[in-house]
Amino acid sequence: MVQTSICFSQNDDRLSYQAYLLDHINDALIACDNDLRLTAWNHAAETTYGWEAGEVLGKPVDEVLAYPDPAPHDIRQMYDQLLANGQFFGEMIHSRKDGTPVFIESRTIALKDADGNCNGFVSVNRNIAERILAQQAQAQLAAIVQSSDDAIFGNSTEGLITSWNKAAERMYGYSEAEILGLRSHVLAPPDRQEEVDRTLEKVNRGESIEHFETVRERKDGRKINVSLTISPIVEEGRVTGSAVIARDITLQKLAEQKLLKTAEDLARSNAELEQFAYIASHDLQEPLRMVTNYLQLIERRYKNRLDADADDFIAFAVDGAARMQHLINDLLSYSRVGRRESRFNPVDLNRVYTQVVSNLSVAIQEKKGEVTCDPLPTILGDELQLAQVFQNLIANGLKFHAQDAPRVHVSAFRKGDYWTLVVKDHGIGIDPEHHERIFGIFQRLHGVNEYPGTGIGLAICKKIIERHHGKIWVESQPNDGASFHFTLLAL
Amino acid sequence: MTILSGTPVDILLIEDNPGDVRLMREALKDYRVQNKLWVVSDGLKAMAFLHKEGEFCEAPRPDLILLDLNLPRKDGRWVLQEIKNNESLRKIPVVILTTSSAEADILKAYELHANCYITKPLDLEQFINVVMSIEGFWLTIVKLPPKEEA
Repeated sequence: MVQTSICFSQNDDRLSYQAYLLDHINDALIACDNDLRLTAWNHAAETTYGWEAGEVLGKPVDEVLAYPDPAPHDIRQMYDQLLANGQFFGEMIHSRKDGTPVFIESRTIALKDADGNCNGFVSVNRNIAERILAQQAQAQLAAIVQSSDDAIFGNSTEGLITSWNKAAERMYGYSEAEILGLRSHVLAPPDRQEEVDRTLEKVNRGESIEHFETVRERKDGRKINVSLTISPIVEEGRVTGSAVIARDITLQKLAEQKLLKTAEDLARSNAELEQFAYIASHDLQEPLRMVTNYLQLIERRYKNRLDADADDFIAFAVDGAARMQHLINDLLSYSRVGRRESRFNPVDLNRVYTQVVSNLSVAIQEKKGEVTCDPLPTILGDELQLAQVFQNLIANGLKFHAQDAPRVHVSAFRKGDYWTLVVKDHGIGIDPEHHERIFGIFQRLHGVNEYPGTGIGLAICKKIIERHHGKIWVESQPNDGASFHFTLLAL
Repeated sequence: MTILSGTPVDILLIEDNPGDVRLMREALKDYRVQNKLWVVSDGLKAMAFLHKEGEFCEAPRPDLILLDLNLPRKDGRWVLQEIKNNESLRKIPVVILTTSSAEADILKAYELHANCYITKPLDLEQFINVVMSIEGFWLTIVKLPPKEEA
């Protein structure tokens, strides 16, 4: 007797109504007789397993549903158990018509006849694929939380700790068992308790706190520097708790402090050096003034009244003293670059250029020079010091010219956050072997009689540009002019 | 009061460096207006001179004061304050003559009401020019207040 459906009598409305209901419930409803042959197969069973009722009714249930893992005979075992216990509830994997697995939660009961003997089984099988996937996803998340290097723990809205990962155990020294249910206030030292209250209030309002650096206390009393990221947990529009991620930044803080101290030491050392240079040059000036002035007085008063040798001696002495004064002046200027308080404002380099060219107008006229420029940017810096740089570089361009009249051109191009300024001349050029040296103090490449100057100009430029967090360098070949490049922060 | 030729002017130089004192004398030799240079070498003596005390009881009231900032014991800033705080003395023009071109010093001097501040140049020609200019400006061009009895 092969039953084709659970619809017994067309004429019995109640029965047919019930049969209709059973046929259309969401869960797969299947039944089999004592020999485990399928006697019922509803609509949901068809969609769940892929078999149409006509294909499977009368076949053994294990043949139809068994998935290789677990092995087919386990289904038989299940039914044996059913005979003993009367019912079965559990999760299993069944096979679809196409061989793919489907996760099933099954409630099966043994049907009894009037005498209490088993005459079949009926199962309500639910497809729990979604639930299984969700469980797997959750398990994976839990594994991620547990394996994280950062301490991750959950708080209730009252601040009670609701979860605690392995890293939290290591960081704070409390085991999961010890800490669950305690308020997260135990993690903070006495002077930070209010802070915990405030952050709790904030996060309960739905706000996040990111990378908040503070101090916490381990179980053993040791204080640690931590960076906290606290996010509210929102379910259906309400904040139900918060998740805290804590990173131990104690080592990082130590490194920062060490760096700060080194920077402070360096700054102090620099300040001392600059002060030394200032005092040295300042105090050297007075005796030098005496030498210079009185030599000049002698020269004035007694020239042509002593012999020619005396005139020569005096001339050399006066000249030497004068040069020494220039050196000291320049050293003072150089040390002043550092002593001046840094005040960075937007500086329009076109204005600086115009001012400098005006300052150099006499020199430009004398040498019949030509100084030009492209439109220049506005950058962040110290206007007075930048004027010094422009003046030194353009004056150099005018000074170190070859046979032709000097030509100097200033241009600029932008590269990322910086502008590169270029002061280019067509003069005598600089051999690459000297490209670094020339930026040193009092470094000169020529004799005193060839070109004037103490050799401090480029050193001053370098110091100023470095204070502006930029770089300065030269590109040049002998007899091919020189291009001085320096970088400044764009606005 | 205008300086008539023939009326010597009294200049008080407060300077401790003998070298600078001598230079000033040499520079003033060329000055066309008759002048007498009075020199004191520290701040306390300067105030005694101005108050005509002790050894300075016969001292004249200077028409111009040249003051070096860096003096031993009481420095030039103290002297400047003393002079400008005194109702009678404050009318005498004070020219600060010093080696420091540091901005802080300049500002402080003007805050203390110096009449002007000149950095001693490093070259003789320049020094002489400066001295000539000072005298020329303050004693010839500028009208000074009438001399009072102290």
